[in-house]
Amino acid sequence: MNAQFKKGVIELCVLKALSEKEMSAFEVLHRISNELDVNENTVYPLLRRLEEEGYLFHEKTPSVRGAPRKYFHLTEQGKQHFEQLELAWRTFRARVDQILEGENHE
Amino acid sequence: MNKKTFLSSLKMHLENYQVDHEDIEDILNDYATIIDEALEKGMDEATLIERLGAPKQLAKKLYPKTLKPQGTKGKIIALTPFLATIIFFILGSAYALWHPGWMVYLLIPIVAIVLEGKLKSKDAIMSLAPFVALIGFFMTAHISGVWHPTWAFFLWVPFSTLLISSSKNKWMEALVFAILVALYLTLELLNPSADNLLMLVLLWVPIYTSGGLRIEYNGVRQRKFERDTLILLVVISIGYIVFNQAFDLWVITSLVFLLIPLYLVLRIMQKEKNALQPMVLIPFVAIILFISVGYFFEGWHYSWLFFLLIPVIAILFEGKAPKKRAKGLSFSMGYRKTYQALEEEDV
Repeated sequence: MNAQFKKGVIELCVLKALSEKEMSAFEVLHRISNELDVNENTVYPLLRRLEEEGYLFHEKTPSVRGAPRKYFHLTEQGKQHFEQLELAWRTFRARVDQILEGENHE
Repeated sequence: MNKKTFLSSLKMHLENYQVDHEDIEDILNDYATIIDEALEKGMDEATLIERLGAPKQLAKKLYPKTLKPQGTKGKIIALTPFLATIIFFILGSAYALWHPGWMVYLLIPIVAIVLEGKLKSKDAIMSLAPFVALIGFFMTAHISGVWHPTWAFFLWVPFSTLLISSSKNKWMEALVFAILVALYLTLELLNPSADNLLMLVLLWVPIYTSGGLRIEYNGVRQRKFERDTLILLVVISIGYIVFNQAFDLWVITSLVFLLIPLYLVLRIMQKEKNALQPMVLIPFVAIILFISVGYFFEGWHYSWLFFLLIPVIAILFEGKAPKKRAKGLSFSMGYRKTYQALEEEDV
């Protein structure tokens, strides 16, 4: 998949995944990297940035193995940000589809 | 590479950045738990660590803007303030060139930009533009004794944004800008009048159409923010010219243009829901004090000391900055880069 396309939608997909349920960093990495074929080294920095910007918060849960695990959730600000990004994406996609369908009809 | 060597390597690379020790430990704990959870789910350690990426690249992605200067380049950058001070005092005490000798301090940011940046990149050109304008203005005015309209050198800053813009009509926009400036200078030479300055307000048109005032936040363009900023720019420009036609206080009232970057900073902090930090305001305070004391008390030769407030306050308030940094907003005349950790090609 084109790298430029991926760059724009990873954040949207991460926010979508977390809007469905709380997830650990590994679970987010695993889901996004499997479905979008992106490098795992991209997702964790993104999670960290989103949390610093107030879109996510985490809760630590004790783990049998190693340090407590962080489980990420969307904040209210994160939900609003996700809705804005999703709207922007759907609008963009609809317009691109319109152009592509127009070329096919020719 | 196994978990232990991966985390050791990551720690080593993170320590090259200006990062709190607590943040480094937090990141290492996070990666440790990621690896542990992957192993619990039956993934192969070596395969996972390979997919996590090289620790050096990870550190760069986590902190793309905070690399400590290293090696020879870093040493030159660190030594530049001392060299500038030595040169300044030699120029002043031996040749009575306190002014424009103070300009050697501009070597500090210039050397940092040249050594840390890529000279051919648009960012380096834009970063150097204010210094080019400042040096051109002061040297020309000092040698010729003509301060007006020599200040027109500062128009190089907005003009350079047109040269590097990606607008389809960039050469037309640059030409319109150059013609307007040339017309103004010609009128001013033939028939000096403060009214001629009103022509320069039109300069905002090619800048706006070229996208030089493009403001993005987290990749989403902020058109309302752009419109508000343009209105503020035009109002301040016209107000400044009209006011000074009556009161002739051009130098001291030029401080009103600081409202523009101050407005941008306050909007960012509002967007980030951060409390106002002293460090953000200190550059503005320093400039106001420098110009006010120099103008009202003719104290230019010591009012430059107010700029020392910037590093002093930064040191005093180090570590007290809000956890949420003002990332995600890109603005300015020509700067299009967003300060996100994902500004990399290998997504």
